[in-house]
Amino acid sequence: MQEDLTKIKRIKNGDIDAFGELVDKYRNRLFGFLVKMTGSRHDSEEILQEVFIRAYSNIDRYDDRWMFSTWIYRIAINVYKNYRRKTGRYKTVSMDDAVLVDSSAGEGNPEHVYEKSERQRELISLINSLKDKQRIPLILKYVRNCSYAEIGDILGISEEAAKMRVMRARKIICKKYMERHRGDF
Amino acid sequence: MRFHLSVEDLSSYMEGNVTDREREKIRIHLDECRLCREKYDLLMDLENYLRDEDYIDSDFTERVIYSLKNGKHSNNRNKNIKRKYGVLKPVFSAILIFVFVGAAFYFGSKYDTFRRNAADEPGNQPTVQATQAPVKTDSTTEKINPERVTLYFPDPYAEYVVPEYRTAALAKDYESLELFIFRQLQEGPEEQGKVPVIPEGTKLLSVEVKDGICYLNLSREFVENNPGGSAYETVLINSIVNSYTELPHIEKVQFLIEGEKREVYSHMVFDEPFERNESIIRTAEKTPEPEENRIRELGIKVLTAFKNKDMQELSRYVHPEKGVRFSPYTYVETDKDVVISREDIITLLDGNKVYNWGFYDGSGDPIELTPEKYIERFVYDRDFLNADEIIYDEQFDRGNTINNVFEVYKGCHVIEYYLEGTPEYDGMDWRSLKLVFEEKDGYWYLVGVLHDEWTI
Repeated sequence: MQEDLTKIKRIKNGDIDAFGELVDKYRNRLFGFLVKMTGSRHDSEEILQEVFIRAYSNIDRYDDRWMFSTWIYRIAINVYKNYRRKTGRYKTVSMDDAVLVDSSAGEGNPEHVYEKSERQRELISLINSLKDKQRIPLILKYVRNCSYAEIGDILGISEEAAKMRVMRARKIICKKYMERHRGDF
Repeated sequence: MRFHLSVEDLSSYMEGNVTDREREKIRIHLDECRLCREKYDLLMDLENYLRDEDYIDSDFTERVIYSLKNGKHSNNRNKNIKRKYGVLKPVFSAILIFVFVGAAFYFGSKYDTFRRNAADEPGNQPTVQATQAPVKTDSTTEKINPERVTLYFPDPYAEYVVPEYRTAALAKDYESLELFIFRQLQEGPEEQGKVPVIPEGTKLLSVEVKDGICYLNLSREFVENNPGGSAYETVLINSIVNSYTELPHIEKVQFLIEGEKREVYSHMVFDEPFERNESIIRTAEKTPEPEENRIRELGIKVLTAFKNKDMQELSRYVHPEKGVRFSPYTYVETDKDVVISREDIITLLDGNKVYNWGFYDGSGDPIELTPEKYIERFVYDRDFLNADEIIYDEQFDRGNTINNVFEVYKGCHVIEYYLEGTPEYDGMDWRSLKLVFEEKDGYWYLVGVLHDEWTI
């Protein structure tokens, strides 16, 4: 936290390398978050670039009462939402094969690999069937291992509301899964 | 198998928020129950998939810095970059001056755009200006000239919203239809003796329609004077939202309190626009069977009697021949559950006779309580009169205990009062109370009282 603040001070003084250090620190976790949100590595990379550029351009508006990580996630969510708006609201998120398990690297029998990637495909479609309202807190919860308080801060809602939304997301996923597989039970 | 684990149970188990004993019980259950194991595997796979890390190309940072340095994304920081990296060379200064002048014009014209975009940034919730005229709407409003305006008001039980109609001619005296609708909601429904809908003292600070969203900016009385109760809250919000979304140019309603978005109203998430809710509307065509109304009314009377421990009153609703059966955990055990006859109900609370009502979940100890203590613990142990959901004749599996109410009470009506759990207890403190009514000679009588809560 303190480290980030020192870097931000340096950035404000015109030290662009300090910004590079921040990018290094946050790029993978934000990338992970965006990949799970969009289902596409390619789109995530574009979004992420935009996120950092926005952060840099607005660094003077960063309020150090928030954690930098909270702030950058908020920007990421805003940029993601703009992207969704552009790519069409009802368009289903396309899934790069890259996001799925790398089947060529799978060991053991191909049947197992196939099953695993089928399972993943199903999980992705279940996650994508959620509304952003539940999807974002759920993904934050796991991808980053965020506390509910942090999720609340990022989304501007209370800790309780964040917890409720994550729980609701899990419930909806279970329910939809059960509906799809009712015959199996 | 009698019990199933809920998503809440499994989540607590996975997060380690259970006692050793609970963990053991859940583990044993998972070994035995295929359905719960499926659910558990699903949640585990979900977690593992989401936890899988993704790595971006290692030269990503370089690319970001490069594009910043090359000013494709110019901003107020550029002067600093240029200072530090000393790109100004005397030979090129004339060209650069030319470029800078051009950029100044360019960004001057972009300034407004930037300001607008800034609204997207964190911490800048869109607010509605309440300064000039109190009402500001899209010009599309003027084109709309419906013959009548449909308004929705909560029904007296705060379960539904009911439409009422006003001739649009009345709206002529108002600046806009949006304002007219608000005033009408404020006055209340004509058919129910004008019970005010909007919390007292609420002022409409402004109303603006933008991109299909109606921003309704209200004074803080809307929150402060809210009479409370989540059922009321639901119908209140839905009557406003449904009334506004009757207008063709409004799709959603975003509430603002004193110009700001608010996280929650008192129960509902409030910082996102509300969509229309058709399912809560009751019209003549969609009016429930009179029977349902009757059961709903009876339910409230029975709950009130339990709440007040008014056994004399309660006895009026109990089945004259069958009496009423009490089940502590939803699962009805016809041979074991205590059944009290109509006559005995009246004097049930007199004396200190201890009954055996069944077995505590978890410990398995017998539930040996006086009727009074039983009612406090296994009937009206929560404010069911202010239930979050009232469910009529519908099986609602809460995931824990198998629900055999419809098998046991065939041909009966079941009304369930459900209270959501609070986040403090991970939602596990939810409660439900079901009342079962059976018909005799055209009247409906209470035959079952089923309590339900989180069980292992």
